[in-house]
Amino acid sequence: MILLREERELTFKDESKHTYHPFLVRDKVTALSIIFSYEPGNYGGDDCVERIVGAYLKVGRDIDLEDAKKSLPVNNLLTLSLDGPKGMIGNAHRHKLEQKIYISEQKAEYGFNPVPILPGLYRVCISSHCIASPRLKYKLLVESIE
Amino acid sequence: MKYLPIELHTHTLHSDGSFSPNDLVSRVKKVGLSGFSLTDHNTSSGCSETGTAAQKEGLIFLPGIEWTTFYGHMTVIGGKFDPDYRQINPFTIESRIRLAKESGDLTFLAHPFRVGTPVCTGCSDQFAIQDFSSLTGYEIWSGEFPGTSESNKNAVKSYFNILEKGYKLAAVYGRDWHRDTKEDAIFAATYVATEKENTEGVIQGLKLRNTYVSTGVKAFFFLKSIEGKNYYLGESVPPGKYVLVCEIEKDKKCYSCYEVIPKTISLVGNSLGQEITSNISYGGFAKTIEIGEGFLAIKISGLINDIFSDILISSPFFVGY
Repeated sequence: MILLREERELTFKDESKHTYHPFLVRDKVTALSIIFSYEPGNYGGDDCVERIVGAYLKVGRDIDLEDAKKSLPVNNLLTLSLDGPKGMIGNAHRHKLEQKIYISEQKAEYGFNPVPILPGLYRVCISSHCIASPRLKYKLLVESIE
Repeated sequence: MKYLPIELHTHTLHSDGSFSPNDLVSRVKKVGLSGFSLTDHNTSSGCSETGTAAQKEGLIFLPGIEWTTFYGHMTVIGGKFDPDYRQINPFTIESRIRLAKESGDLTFLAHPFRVGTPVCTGCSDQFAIQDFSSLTGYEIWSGEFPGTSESNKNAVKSYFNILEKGYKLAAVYGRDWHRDTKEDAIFAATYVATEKENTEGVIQGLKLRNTYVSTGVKAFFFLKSIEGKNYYLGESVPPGKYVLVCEIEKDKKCYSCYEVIPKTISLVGNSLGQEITSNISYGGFAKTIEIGEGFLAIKISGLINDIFSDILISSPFFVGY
């Protein structure tokens, strides 16, 4: 059963934010399946060069524009965490553009603890660590497995 | 007391590393480290399995996590305090570090001068910590060929600035080990003084700040007072006249494949009127010095695989406080 389906488009203004998507599990189920994807994975536009120079300056280093361009493309990075009725279940901090996350009492995807999927309020959190491209789209699908 | 080479900053598939827990354990054993901490980004889900694998191989294991925030990264070792990383920001970081310390965990500011977003997301220190009194240590070295990196030179300067303000922090290295690297890559280790060669012993050594970071060299340092009392790295020492005793040797087990030739030893810190530099080679070294209030740290430089580099930097002696 589909418990949550979201599609969002983010811009640079959404960087360094945590976006929460709550959903309800009404009855105890065997597992949750989460499919999360985002695109584009990286961005190589020249408008990013100023940000790269700024990043170097913040740590006390000079870099000229030509050398800064060598850092292109830079990666967008969105990560996913999951909270359940008893607290945080886990976190997927990885540079993967599509992730399939399975969580049950017996086993869970890397980054997550195996827990029983009890009735209650859950929430997926998408953390936008870096949005380098002018637009970034993500898709989220959460299903219960009986 | 024995100094053990420990890796304090590693990742597995539980976050963005390429290693399974067993893979990581085999890599740690292969390079000759005595132990390591697992510090996956914002999760400790891998610690139980990794700890079991480490124990089977006779390695010391320290459960940990890396708070990976938009404002910087912090490795937290001990496994007792597990805050919501999403609530960690420049306004809350000091309270979280304090709570970690109260729980018995150790906190280390990770790669503070690495270039940050968008090159390495959140990597540079933007926490703007004002009060360092609860922080255990500072990653003065991070990553590959640490003794030559510009980021690390800036981190060392910043560390010394913090020490000059009167704070006591351990100097540590974090490889930030995510995946295999090319064969000729050069790394370091954090050498931690231990009375017991186990998790508890290493944690105690880190708490006492009796550490140095080094590529391929084992060392032993102490200050001997006129009365014959010995003081070790990380200890409070009264101002006065001392003989600084250093014994250095090639580490034949940990990262032993590098050709390391020490050339100079520098005594640095505001406890001295000015930096003192002498020639050095493997073996013993002793120097009579007069130290005033402040900190005194040791730096050894020389050649690593024919490239000039810092080889070792110690946590300091804290003189007069």
